[in-house]
Amino acid sequence: MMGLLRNEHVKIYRRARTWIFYAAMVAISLLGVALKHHTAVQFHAKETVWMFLDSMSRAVYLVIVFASIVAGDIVGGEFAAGTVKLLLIRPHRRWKILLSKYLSVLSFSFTLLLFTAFMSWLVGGFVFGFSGASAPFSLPHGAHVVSISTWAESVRTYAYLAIPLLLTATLAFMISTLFRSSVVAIALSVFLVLFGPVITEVLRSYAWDKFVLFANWNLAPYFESDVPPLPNMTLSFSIAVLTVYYAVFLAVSWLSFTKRDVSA
Amino acid sequence: MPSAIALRGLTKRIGQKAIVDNLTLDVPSGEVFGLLGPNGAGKTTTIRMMVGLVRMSAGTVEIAGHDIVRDYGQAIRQVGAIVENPEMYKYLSGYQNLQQFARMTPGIETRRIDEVVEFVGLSERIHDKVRQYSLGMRQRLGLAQALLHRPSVLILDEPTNGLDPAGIRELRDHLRRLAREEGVAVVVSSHLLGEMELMCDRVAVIQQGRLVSVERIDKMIAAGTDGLVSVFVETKCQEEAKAALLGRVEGMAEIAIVDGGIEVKLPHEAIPRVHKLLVQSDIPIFEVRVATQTLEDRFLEMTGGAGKA
Repeated sequence: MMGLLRNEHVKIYRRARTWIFYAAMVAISLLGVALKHHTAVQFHAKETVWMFLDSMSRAVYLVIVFASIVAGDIVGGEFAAGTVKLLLIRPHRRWKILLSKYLSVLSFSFTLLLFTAFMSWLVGGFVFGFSGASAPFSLPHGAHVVSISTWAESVRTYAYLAIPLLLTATLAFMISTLFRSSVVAIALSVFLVLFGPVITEVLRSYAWDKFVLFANWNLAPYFESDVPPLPNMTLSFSIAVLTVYYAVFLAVSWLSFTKRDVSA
Repeated sequence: MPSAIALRGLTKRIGQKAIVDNLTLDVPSGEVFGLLGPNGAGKTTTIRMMVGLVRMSAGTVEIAGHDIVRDYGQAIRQVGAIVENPEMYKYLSGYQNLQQFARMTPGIETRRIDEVVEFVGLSERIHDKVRQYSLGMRQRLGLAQALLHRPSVLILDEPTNGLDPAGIRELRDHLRRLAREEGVAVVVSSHLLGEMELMCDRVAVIQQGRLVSVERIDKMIAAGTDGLVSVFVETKCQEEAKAALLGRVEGMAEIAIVDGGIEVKLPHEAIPRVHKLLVQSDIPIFEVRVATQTLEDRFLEMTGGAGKA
């Protein structure tokens, strides 16, 4: 199993693509800090590294896209290239090979997430100074406002984003395994990430709108207001829906990879 | 001692159609065995079932006594294979590719990687990216990958694809050496008869998923199924020659006038009698020639000419 995990990591990090993703995240941090510095000077606003980190959380959507590309390619790519035939004729059960691939996707995705947050903190710290972690941050909570420290707010923001990251990567992984094509998997999951909110809007009038994945995967509103994203939704409802989606994604990947003939 | 490879009633059905139909075969250790058949005959599906990539509808595959389905780990450990083209990770070097496969089977030391690289003659280019390899080099790397874990069974699907004549000869020498010296059972598939003739000890002819026959390659080339040979006699006096021979040659099965002479089908030992009769009858003859039946003729004969070779 360690050998399999190492193989998958080699296959991810030996590709130029992966380092382009990392370079893109560095570039975005630098761009972000330049813009933020410019506006802070212009409006004489006080900016801290933690406020900057919090505002840079939007960059996580790019992490989600990159994670989807890696997840969408990790099984589909082996089928497209034909290497899957050499991979599977080894003394390992197929589910172990699949598991090593899935764990490697998670490892890549969350490493890139942490790297992105760290880069933003680092460049932000150099520009705005590293202090201000415990400065109060006003968080709306329904009718009233709660005050928490800025660093806690940053951690909270990134933690919420870890959920769509996990689910999108798993979804891309499932499509990749099911369709045996990286192109389909990458295109479909990137489309869903970009248009998730639009899809939620379009489906709003249907009775089952609250079961849509994208309506559930942002848990922040439950902590920030008394109004749920859609009527009749609660935190535990959303967690249950997300758990079911996650389980289905994994089950479909599992069955598709272990049961089907490799005859392409 | 069990056969290195034993197929028993191996069948693959997709819907109503049997892609592979009730195949039973044994390949002993030390033999180079060919699966011969036209494209679409079911060779690749058979090979995929032998390595567990495709599930059989019925029947069994045993590798060195281990069932490929029930005892997958033990069975596949014995097998080195290339299924269709030797597809490798193009963004890795040849060496890094071999490292990938080495990590998946316990007990392959670094020295072994160097050993197989040496064996297939890829030492100079092994650290180049596979992207830059020619098809022939990829075939070599494919063979190296298949040999890494010292398999007792080697299965190669269309291994001569993309090889030049020198490469084919070299591959044949490799396979023969592995079979003779290390007792490896080798299965190769091909739709090209000439290559089979060069490489194999025995050949199974497969058509439309069915086993047509299994024969030693040397016997296969020597004679037709009925043990008769075709003899062509070049002469201008075809009618006279036919009359001179008709009914006077023991075992003669056929005599026909063809372009530029006559053709007779008869046992090999009756050929001197043909000479004698024709000379005695004072018929001018230019040549008496045994029309050697090529493997291709045999193949077409066995498959009823239906499959284009």
